[in-house]
Amino acid sequence: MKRKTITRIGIAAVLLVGLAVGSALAQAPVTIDFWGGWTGPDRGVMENLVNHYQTQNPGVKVNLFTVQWTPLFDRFLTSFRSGEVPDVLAMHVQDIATFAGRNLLQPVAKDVANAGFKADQFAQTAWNGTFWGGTQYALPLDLHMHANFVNLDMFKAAGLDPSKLPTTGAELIAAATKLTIDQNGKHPGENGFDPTKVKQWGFGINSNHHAFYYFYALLAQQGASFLDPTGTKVAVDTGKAERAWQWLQDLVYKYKVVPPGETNAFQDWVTGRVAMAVDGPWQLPAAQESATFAWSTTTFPNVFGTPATWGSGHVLTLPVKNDPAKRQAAIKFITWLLNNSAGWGTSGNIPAMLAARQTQEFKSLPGRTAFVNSLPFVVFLPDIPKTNQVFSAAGPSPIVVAAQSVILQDAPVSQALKQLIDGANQILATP
Amino acid sequence: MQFGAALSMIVVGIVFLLPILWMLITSVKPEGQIMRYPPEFVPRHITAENFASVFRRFAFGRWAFNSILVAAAATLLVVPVDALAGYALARMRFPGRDALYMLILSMLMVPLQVTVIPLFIGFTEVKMLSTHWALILPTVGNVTGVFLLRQFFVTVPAELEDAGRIDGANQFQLWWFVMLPLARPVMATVTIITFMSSWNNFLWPLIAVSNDFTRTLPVGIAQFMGGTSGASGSAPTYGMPTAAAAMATAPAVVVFLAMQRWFVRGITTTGIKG
Amino acid sequence: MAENAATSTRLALRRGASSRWYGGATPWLFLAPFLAAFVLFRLGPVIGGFFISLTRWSIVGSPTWVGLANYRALLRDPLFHTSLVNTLFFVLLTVPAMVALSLGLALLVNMRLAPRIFARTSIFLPYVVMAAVVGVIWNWMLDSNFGLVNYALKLVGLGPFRWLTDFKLAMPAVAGVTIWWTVGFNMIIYLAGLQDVPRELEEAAMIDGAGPLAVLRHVTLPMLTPTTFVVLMLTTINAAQVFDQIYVMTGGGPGTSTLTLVQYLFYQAFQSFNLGYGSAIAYFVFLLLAVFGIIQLRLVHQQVTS
Repeated sequence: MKRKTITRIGIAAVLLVGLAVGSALAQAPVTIDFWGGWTGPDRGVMENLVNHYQTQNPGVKVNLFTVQWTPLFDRFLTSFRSGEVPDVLAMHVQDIATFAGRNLLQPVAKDVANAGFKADQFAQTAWNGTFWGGTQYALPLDLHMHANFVNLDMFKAAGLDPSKLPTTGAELIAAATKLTIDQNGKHPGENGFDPTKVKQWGFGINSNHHAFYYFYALLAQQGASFLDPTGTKVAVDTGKAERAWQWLQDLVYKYKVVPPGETNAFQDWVTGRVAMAVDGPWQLPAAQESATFAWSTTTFPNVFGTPATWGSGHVLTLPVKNDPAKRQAAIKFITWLLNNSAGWGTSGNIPAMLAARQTQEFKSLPGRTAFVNSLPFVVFLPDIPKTNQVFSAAGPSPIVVAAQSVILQDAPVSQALKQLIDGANQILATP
Repeated sequence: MQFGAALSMIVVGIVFLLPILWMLITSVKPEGQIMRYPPEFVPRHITAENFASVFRRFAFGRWAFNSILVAAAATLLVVPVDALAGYALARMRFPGRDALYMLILSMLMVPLQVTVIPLFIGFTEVKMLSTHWALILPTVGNVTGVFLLRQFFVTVPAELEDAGRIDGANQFQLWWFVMLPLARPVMATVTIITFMSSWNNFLWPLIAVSNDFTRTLPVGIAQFMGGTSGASGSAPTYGMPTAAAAMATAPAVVVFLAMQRWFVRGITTTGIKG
Repeated sequence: MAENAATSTRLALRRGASSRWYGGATPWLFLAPFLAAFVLFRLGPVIGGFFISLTRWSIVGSPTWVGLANYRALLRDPLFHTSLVNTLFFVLLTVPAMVALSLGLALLVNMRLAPRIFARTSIFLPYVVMAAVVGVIWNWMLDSNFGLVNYALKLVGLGPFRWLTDFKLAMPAVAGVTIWWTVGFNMIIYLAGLQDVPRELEEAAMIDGAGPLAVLRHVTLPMLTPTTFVVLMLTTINAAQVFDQIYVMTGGGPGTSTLTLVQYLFYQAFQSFNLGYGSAIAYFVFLLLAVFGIIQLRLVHQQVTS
């Protein structure tokens, strides 16, 4: 009797200890750090998704940290010295080479397969964008590209048909001309039109790095590219390049449908100063919240024949790190995020996953149609290790200087182009 | 003439305040009503949502606590340390003093951005990143305080020191009992300058700290300072950034107002002007 | 915001009471705490930064030694030249205005009238606001089509001005914002200086029949000369290192019209990941300011030591 009791107590004790240890292990909270560069309403959407995930997965803590992309990447680079590397890092398709080229990202092909993801589940351009040098370094979250935001009330008031939104360059200029009205009700081209007393402009474009993106798309529309196939120097057809810049410049100075010196096309549009404006889907939440008029979107104008629109996409990468538990947790989180990317769609970005775009949740979001229709024609910036330098969105980068020289000044386009090519080549040439 | 001057003072004051007022007005408007043209000075609706949002979604309280802790600690260290050094540089002659002084001075002429990475490497080696000390200590190397205090101590009449010395005081006692009480206004000046310098620091805390536990305000609120349109991805919002900014500025304003009287008097006695 | 280099430098010029000779350890004991922090957190990193400027490095991985190559490349770099010219332009735009305006404001705010505390505080208040916030407010206020400033000007029939997108207006616009942001600090320095102008002298001059303007010219201003040199030196050193507000408002644009030295440094070091090249720019700035400092010292004929 005694022996049996002791044995039973012993077994019970072992079981209890086993249970305790087991549950402790199971409940040991894993913390993963998730960094991204979203600082607007899209951050709020991602926060909600992250919180949702944590509610559903109590054993995991996901720390979301966001700051603008440039300081984010600075911190990312320094984190390798301090050992505080994030578990999941978001970036754009064209950033992959910068970091994979420095051996800072882990290949993910196996994880993708294990999670059950396949190429045909995603938009083709998005999927292809996750590869560099033949290796897959990221999972595609979304795509975002240019489209044209249109104020339908102004359209109707100008006698235009709101069901036939402009899609070609010619249509755009025709519509914009009718939509540019000065204080005396005159349009550009009419006698007595006064460009200094315009009360409503037809079209708005940005003069920052996005103007270079318009140029880049217009090049692609002519079948031309900016860099040579190796991505080590500029090899652009100057005739086509000049034509592309000229078309943009003419909008301001020749056709006079764009306000000179415009800083923020979308703001001008949403406050009712401009009838149409090119911007990205990240502005959709603001359009929904702030626009006091009926609006819709149409595709970026096809000016030169072959449809092409600048775009990019957010991707999720796994920085090089030696922590299998966190890695697993990170992949689990990414998998969940992709499967729930219809929710991410409310940020304006277009989910890369086909299934997400087919949900009622996504389809009921206003204004997405033009963006979705652009998916097959999206052209990305070249993904080379020097992308962040050559195509830097900040400061005196050659693309910004060129864009501003062309749009903010009625100066000869050939000169701006030459500066652009020289500047880009100089950066590409330094080791 | 008097009336004109008084009126000018009020007008100038308002002109300088205008942009800050605009910021405050924006912070109480609902986001959807901020982008309006013509600009609306009087909001149609007033909301506390922007402020609530900041607290709800972010560890704003924690960041504020860290900023206050770091700035206060830095200031508490800087004032006595600089007072000691300033006194030595002013009242004691020793070999190499002038060269040392020039060396210290010259550091002001180097843009601080280049010190960020070397500091980062240093703190990484001793594994002190993401600690409060990493944010406090670099400020103690600041040079301005030493100068203000050195300059002040130079103006103190030698008789005061001599009297103390006759009474048998040693150097440290002289410093503590004779010099410091006279230096209170200057020290208040150094307090304000050091506090502000620490409070608004962005680049170093961005790189040095990687968690909310130690994060300070400027880095924290940068998470939703959208910047320019479409920095490939984010649309700018105005409500939350202005609300956060209003709250982030408040403590520094309090310090200034509290020290203001001392501040002017401090510079007077320092002889900054002459 | 970088600590105010100038205040300190300016004060260094002042002649003071004579000091006693001390051998032995005492001075060093007093200096030790500061020197420890100074060497560890200021001098050391500055020297470290100099070594980085002799390398090619992108933060990750090991640096590659290149000697003075970065400095030579800078001398040939057209963007560096542009940033140098722009910085000088910025200094010319802001320094005289800041000195004159802060003096005027100090004189105004020195009068014993009721609103002076309000005025003093309001003028100083911008100094307390973070750079990022200054950017948010002013980017919006100066928007060409949509901003408060152009709207107000429109009401009186002026403008619209393309403040931040006109190649010729951008730098003046940034200079204007800088003045709003920092003139308060200069004003307080002048204010303090004014406290030490003996009232008796001014009153004596008035009794002799001099009008307020003459008193200003012949009594007040001459006594403020040392203060003016301080404010001048202070403002110049800070202006030469201007960065925060340009970064948040124009990023160096439009084109390169507001690209300043430190802005270019930041672009190279932290946006293009050319840490070595960017750091070299800092030491050029140091060189320029050191030369300027030496010239100023000679001009003023004052000694650093007492």
